Amino acid sequence: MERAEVLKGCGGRVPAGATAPEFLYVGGEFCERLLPPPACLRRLKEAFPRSKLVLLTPVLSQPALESLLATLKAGAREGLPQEVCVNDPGLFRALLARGGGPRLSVGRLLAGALGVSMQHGQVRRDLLSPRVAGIEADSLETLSFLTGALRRKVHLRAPFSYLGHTRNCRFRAAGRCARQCLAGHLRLRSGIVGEMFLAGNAYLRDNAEEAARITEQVRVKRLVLERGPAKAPAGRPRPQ
Amino acid sequence: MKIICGVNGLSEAGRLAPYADELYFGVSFVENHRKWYPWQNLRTLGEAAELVSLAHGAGRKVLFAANELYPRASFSRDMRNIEKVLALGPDGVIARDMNLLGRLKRNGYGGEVCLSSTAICFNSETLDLFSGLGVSSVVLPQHLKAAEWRRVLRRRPGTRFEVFFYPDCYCPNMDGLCVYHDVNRTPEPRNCWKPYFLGGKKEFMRKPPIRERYLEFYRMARLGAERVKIARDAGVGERIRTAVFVRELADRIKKGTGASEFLRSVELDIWNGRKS
Repeated sequence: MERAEVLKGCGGRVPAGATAPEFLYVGGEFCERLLPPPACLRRLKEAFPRSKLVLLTPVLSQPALESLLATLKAGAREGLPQEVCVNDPGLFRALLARGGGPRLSVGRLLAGALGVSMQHGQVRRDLLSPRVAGIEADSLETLSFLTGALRRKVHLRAPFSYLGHTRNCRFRAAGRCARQCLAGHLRLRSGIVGEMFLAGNAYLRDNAEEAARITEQVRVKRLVLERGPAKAPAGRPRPQ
Repeated sequence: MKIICGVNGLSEAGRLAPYADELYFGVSFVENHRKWYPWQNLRTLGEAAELVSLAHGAGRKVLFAANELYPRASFSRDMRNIEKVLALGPDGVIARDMNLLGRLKRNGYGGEVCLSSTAICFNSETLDLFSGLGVSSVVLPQHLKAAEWRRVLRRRPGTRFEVFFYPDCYCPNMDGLCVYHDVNRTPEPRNCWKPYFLGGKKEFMRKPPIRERYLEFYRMARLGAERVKIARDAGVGERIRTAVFVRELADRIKKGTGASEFLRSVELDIWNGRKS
């Protein structure tokens, strides 16, 4: 099983004592303001020469899409990033149609948006393309969308699963973003799901138990771990 | 700007028709974005036939909502049901499933194909993806800002689009991606309206302030939104009151009212109890 770690912003560090993982995720899946400039990718590559850089991308507005495509074009000369984790249907289409360039993986938001339509037709054929390295799942429900050969491409997200996110960020005061969301996850209590976490503009919940069950049901291709200053709930999925 | 209004049952269609330019509906036997709200769907094919006939008799266009994702196991059955409804002659379909859109295109469907707001179309590449599947108009996601959509229109001028009436219909989280709204699988979940606690303090999932939502509606109208959508959620009386109010707002915008003046007039309307 491949091992991956999600970094928080460009200043993110792999915890002391840990060996650099095979894949390092940088960027943001919930906010386009967290997309790193090319210089940040270069810096991270220097800092973690043995890790493959995966650019984690959100749903993209037109300005963010244009800026990201420019970043990818600039990075192509240096082979950066090595993979793009895509959550926007348009970006997925654009990158898949272009050929060449970095490998792609389908982020959990895009996987959720495609849902059961991934089980057949052109959507399935696109996802089975060798260019698509994997498809993220973070719950038993998202896993249930994946059938047959797609189950060999599971990238398991842990220890949090996605509940929802907004583009009206609570951390953005007076129209300005101070990137306070990078400070870590806030613990919330909901009458609906019990304990949940506010991670920037996203609501997440502990999926340790579900992640363990996913590892029992499929051979996970990649384990993508997210860490933060806030203490994650006890229990991590058992590696195979 | 035309008003398109959701219809939940035959009895209310006749009441809504004089106030709306267009109507839309879903049926219980084709999953749509009202899965947990059974009363918001027509129950039978016969009811759908009557609604289409009633709308056309009143000179109104009518669209059919088939805006969910359809699994492989039941796709043939779902497709047959969708085709049965389309054979009744609604003027278009609201959809998001790429396989469904592809099939409609291959079958040479000639009506309007309107992309659901749940398809998260935020940029020109997504628009191209769905246009390639036969989509001819788009319902904009609620979280897409007018300033961002303007950039898409610059790239794809002439795109036909519609918006929800944001002051009334605005999800705190991004619709089409939200798991939280029905995570507990209960009828009429509305989870996003319920409070949560942060450090013991009660909070709610945030929407932009009402003033900002009116302003976004104004900006979208100025950008050329073809339709404004009044969703199926409220009672029929409330939907009629909203339709009357929205038509007045649309007329003010059409007359060239400036943004500040528009907001002042809305504040006066709210003050006078015309809108909650």
